[in-house]
Amino acid sequence: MIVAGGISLGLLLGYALQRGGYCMNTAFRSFYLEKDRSLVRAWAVVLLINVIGVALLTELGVLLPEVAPFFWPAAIVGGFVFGIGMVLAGGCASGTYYRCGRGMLGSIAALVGFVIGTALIDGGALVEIQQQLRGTTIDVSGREATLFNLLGLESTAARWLLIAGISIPAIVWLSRAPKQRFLIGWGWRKTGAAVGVLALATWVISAMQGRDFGLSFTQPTVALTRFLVTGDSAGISVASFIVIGVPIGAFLAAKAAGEAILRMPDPGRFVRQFGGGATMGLGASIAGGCNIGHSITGVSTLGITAITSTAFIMLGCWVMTGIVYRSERRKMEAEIAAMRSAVPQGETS
Amino acid sequence: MTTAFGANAPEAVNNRENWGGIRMSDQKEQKADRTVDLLSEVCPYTFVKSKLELEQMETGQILQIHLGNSESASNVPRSVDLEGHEVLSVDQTEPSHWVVTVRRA
Repeated sequence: MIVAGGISLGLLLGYALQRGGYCMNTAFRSFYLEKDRSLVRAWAVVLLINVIGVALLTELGVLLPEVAPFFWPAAIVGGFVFGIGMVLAGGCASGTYYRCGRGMLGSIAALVGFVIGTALIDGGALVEIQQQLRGTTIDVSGREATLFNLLGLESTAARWLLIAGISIPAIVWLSRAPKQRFLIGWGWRKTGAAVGVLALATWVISAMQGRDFGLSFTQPTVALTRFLVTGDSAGISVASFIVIGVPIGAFLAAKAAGEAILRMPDPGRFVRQFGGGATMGLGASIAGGCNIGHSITGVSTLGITAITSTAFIMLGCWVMTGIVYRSERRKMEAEIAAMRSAVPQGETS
Repeated sequence: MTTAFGANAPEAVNNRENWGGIRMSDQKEQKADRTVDLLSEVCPYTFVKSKLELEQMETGQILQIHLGNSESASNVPRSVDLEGHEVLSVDQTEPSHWVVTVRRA
């Protein structure tokens, strides 16, 4: 069940991610520098399905979501570091996994870096950093660190009121979306719905095996690495098989669309993507989650750690995108200046 | 400037299902003033470099952007369109190769 369920969910998720081009690096970046919000809308659909779905399933007693303690220094530092790494890696954690399936060798370098980065922090040589940063927590009246408990919402009605207060403006915003032009593959509605339903299904299938968490990529990657290297299967769960299924599902989707091609970036970019992946791995393991574990699953429980970490992933993404933009502009200006000075006098206009 | 996948490549038409209302190759006769090869680039470099190229150009000039993955071939035209530039065509010339032609606003 764990293996078959995990691989099947992973195949479907990989297929959806590839067809929808669901990259959260692009979603987060688009607030800054760009005007296109298509992938932000896809993310909003995923969250709508999961915030409402998780609350409903918790109410029904199907789930008892595990929520990270509010170790705010780890959420802030880890999130920021992850955001920086994501830009250099050319994709978020899930983005890197599915692009590997498509044959992008730079993403494979990023994945190797991600595996090393997460292993270094999670029980590895740099575990001290994680312990230090997670040592300071803010207590939310002795209860789980969620927005519900932070606001002291005790009754079911009050909790649903908060969910409605978040969901209704989101639905209004989504309903006013302009037509998505220049579409290749799935639009934001279909992509968000597919990823959202699969993320919710992961909660349910995990709960059936006593794992009270939804979709994630960081911990399952660490668990898989540990199992492959040491034979210790303690951390293996349905999520570990999902991360195996994702690149395979993405490969099948890309193959069908004629997009599965081995492609090598230039050497500098290859190294940068590896470094970005490693940075992303360090950040994710410090913060206890990536753009999926925190920004989808954790946010679905309205966990404060996940919300904080997501905010700092975005900040890291914007800072690094700004640096990339400036450095590329300088490079281009230097090239133009060199070209102008190479043209003999009198020929410039 | 002409490239191997330039304006007259005969196979460069309509081989994908959904183009968001854009007719491919309507403006095939346009000659590009600048061409940028971003085939091995990933986001955010595809968008950053396209944006910077357009910034260097003058109004009315044509930029041809070569992209190597479907996300970029979808996101880059959408972003430059929302920036106010005119996307003249998006053509898939071969598997994993898209050519986006943009007129600078």
